[in-house]
Amino acid sequence: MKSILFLKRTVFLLFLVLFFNSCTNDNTPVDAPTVSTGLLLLNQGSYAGNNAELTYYDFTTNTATNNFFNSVNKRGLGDTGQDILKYGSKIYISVYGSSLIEVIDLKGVSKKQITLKDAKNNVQSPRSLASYKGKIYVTLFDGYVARIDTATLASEAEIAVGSNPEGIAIANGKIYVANSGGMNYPNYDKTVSVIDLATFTQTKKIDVVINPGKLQADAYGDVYLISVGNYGTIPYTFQRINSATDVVTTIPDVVPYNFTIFGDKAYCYYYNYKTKEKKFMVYDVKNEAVLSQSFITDGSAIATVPYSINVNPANGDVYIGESDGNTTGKVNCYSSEGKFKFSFDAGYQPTGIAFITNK
Amino acid sequence: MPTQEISSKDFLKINAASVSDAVKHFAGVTVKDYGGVGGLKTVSVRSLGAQHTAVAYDGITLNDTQTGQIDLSRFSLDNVETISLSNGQPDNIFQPARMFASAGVISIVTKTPDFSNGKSIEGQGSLKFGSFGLLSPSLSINKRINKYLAINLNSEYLLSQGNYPYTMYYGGTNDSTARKKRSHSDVHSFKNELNAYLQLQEREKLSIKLYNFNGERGLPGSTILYKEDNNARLWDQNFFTQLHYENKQSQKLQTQFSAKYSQFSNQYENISINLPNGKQEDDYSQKEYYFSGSVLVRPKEHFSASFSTDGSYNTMYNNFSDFAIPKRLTVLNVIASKYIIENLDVTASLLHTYTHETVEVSAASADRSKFSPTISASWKPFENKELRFRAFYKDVFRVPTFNDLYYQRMGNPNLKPEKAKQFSIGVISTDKLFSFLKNTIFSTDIYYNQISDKIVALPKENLFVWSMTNLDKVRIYGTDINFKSTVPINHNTEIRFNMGYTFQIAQDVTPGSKTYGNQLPYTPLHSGTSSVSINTKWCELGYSGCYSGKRWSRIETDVPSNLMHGYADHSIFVSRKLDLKFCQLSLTGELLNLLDTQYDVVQYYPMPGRSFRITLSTHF
Repeated sequence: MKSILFLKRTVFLLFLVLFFNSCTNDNTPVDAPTVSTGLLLLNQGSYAGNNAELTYYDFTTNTATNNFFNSVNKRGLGDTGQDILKYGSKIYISVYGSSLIEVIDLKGVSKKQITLKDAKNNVQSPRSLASYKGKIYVTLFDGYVARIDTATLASEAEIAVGSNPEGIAIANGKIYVANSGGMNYPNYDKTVSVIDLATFTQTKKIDVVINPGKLQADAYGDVYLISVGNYGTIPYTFQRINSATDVVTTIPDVVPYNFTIFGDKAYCYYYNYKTKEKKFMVYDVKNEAVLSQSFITDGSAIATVPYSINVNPANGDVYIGESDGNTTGKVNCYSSEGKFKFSFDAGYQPTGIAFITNK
Repeated sequence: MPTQEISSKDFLKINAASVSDAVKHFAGVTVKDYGGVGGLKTVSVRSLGAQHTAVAYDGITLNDTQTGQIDLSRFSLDNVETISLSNGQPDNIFQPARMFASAGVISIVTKTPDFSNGKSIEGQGSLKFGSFGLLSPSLSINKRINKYLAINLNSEYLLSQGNYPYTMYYGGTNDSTARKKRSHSDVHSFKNELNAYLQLQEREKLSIKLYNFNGERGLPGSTILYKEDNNARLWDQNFFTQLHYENKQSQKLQTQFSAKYSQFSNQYENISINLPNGKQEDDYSQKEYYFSGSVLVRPKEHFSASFSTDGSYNTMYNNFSDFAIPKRLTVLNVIASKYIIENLDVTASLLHTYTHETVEVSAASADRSKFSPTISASWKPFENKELRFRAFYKDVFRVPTFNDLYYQRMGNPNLKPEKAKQFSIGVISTDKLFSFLKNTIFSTDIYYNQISDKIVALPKENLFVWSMTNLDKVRIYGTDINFKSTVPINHNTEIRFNMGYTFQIAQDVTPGSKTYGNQLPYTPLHSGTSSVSINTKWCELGYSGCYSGKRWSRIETDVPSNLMHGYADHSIFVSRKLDLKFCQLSLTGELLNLLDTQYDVVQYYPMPGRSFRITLSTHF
């Protein structure tokens, strides 16, 4: 009898332990709001974390919805969201870690996952996106640029460029591609490939400062470029390529980590990890001169580390993303005069923004 | 010091095949398991981190100066007699100084030859096979040469395809899933160990060990959404030889010496079209020269004192172009004393650590010199009750690893040691509790730990270049409960059961932290283990289980993708022994993860689902 009593107790204790471990389901799915006017922010996510995501910020309700892609599509976006580009009625997202391009409509609904493969059937990893006349051009980290037709959402052609291409920009009938060689520390690449748009062939490589990254064209036929340097003796360098002559000029007095061009202005930021000094500069791409060394004029501050900069083309508002590298980030909206407007909480590493608005 | 122990006859009862399977069943332990036979498995005791936990193999700690952590999946249980876990440090004060230098010690003790049956040669062989291409033969032979010398040779081969299926979750709980299979997760390894035991005089013993391990494994990495597993491989070679001499001169004096030489090298290869020439190849190697001497004096019956001194010299090399090539000299000195009167034991020790480093490229860390005190006591208040109260305090630190200090672009030679303070109080009872029980052990301990100057990685130059920094403060409250007993049913039959439960609140308390008060990643509030086995005349059968409550993969507990649900992993076994004329045969069948629970211990490193294992072994 005693044994039976005891067994009862044992069973009871076992159930107790099981109970502790089974009643922990508290993941309640949230319904995603319908996109009206607002923005879709790409959060890059953490390395190998499968947590690239979209944040939808609604301009009417002034609310941010995180995990927006998952809520709409019932699956994750993937690992390491690299770039986001709105073109026509679709948004293209390069998901580097997952090696695919996610195509969504302006409501956030997935239309296609485009996977690109090399001649040996290896899956290629997309980085940066550019658009031109019905085509999307994308750098592939194994040293190629692909041309994707926006009607068929399929790759039409690929051409070889330099090693580990990063940024891509289109100016003057040419595609400019930054060959970083980023996987070959310390022997980085230091060239920009020039591709003829009409024939889709590489016509030349031009020398720039070591480890080139982001490229963007202005309205005056110039392509601006940041070279990351070697993280040691060679610092970040801001350069300009004249697309008529392909001559490269180094721009003094501006040391941007990142920049974005809107109209006549290049908005740049800089952060010193040792001194924690932050700088937000404005460069005039028309007159080719520094306009301001401190964009923020109302005394407000970015709390952690600036991580991205985007401009709403409808009204010229500047969005500064921030991230401390370990925890989720935040996005701060400033007017083009540098006055704080609003901010919202984002996911891990807020990066590019697709604006879905006309005002 | 709270100590938990599992011996060879109980490994089956918890369905354990490797050291990491066994240590999961200790209360207060968190095993980080990257899944499969070949996945890295490291152990953290009371949330202090793997680098604060020493692993000793036959009395001498294994040392990895590069990473500071030991991969327990490399150690099978085939030739192991006991595994024990001591919080704080082992109770025995007559030990090498290194045994005093960690927050906790996992001690692996191999079988020593036993010729009590009169034979001069004996041994055992086993053949293990199971799901996902598991095949592992092993052989251990003991030979008595003469009355002074015995030798043991044991060899083990392990092969596992590791291509187990798992469920990939593409989103939250109710979102889309797919069945996939792990690839590039195969392992094969070959281990050989030779031991010689010399009984020089009645009181003098010498043992010598030669250990060699060669392995090759795939490193599939984490599962990435919509992408195939990584194609990376790792080759390991580990050789060490260790020697231990002890002399029990008298009741009042004992001495012992140990020496060890170890070399560990590995080659890493990663194949990806994004890499220059399509692949990356890294070579790493480490060497260690180690010596230890201890003396124990017992001037009075109830008082003993010891002094131990350890010296070690560690070097590391890799093929990176500007690698520092560090070398470290470590000198540890410890004095310890133990005072025992009828109901009270008090042990106190003071450890001094000195390190000196040199590098061939760039700057070396400054010399370190630090004292670490420990005090412990246990008290048995009632004469006729097997009830003991115990408490300890230990203030210890870990020296930064070579990776922390010198890793390419990331290392920071100015790092301070990571400090850990431990307070623990508890009670252990070996009373029967109920008249129908026997061999009952009940223990519970509550503890408070504090980590300061925790070594973490933070962005340095930009978000691509990170560096190691002393930053975080961590506070841990917890309790460990163990209960073990046997219910005899009749002469041939008895039921044994064993339960462990751990409760832990481990919080980030870094001043000014955005996540102040959040639970540390991979630390469940509740976790536990249990096992029940029935021994009958015909066979033994049983159940074992591991349970974990919810955890988070990152420090932000309000981000849904960081939440990892609780899980329960249940396994059963049946085993039958046959006594033949020349040998004893045993056949064991195990069904692991019976309910095919899909879970990760480390996020996106899926664990195998339901699988079987059959072991045929013979003792001759």
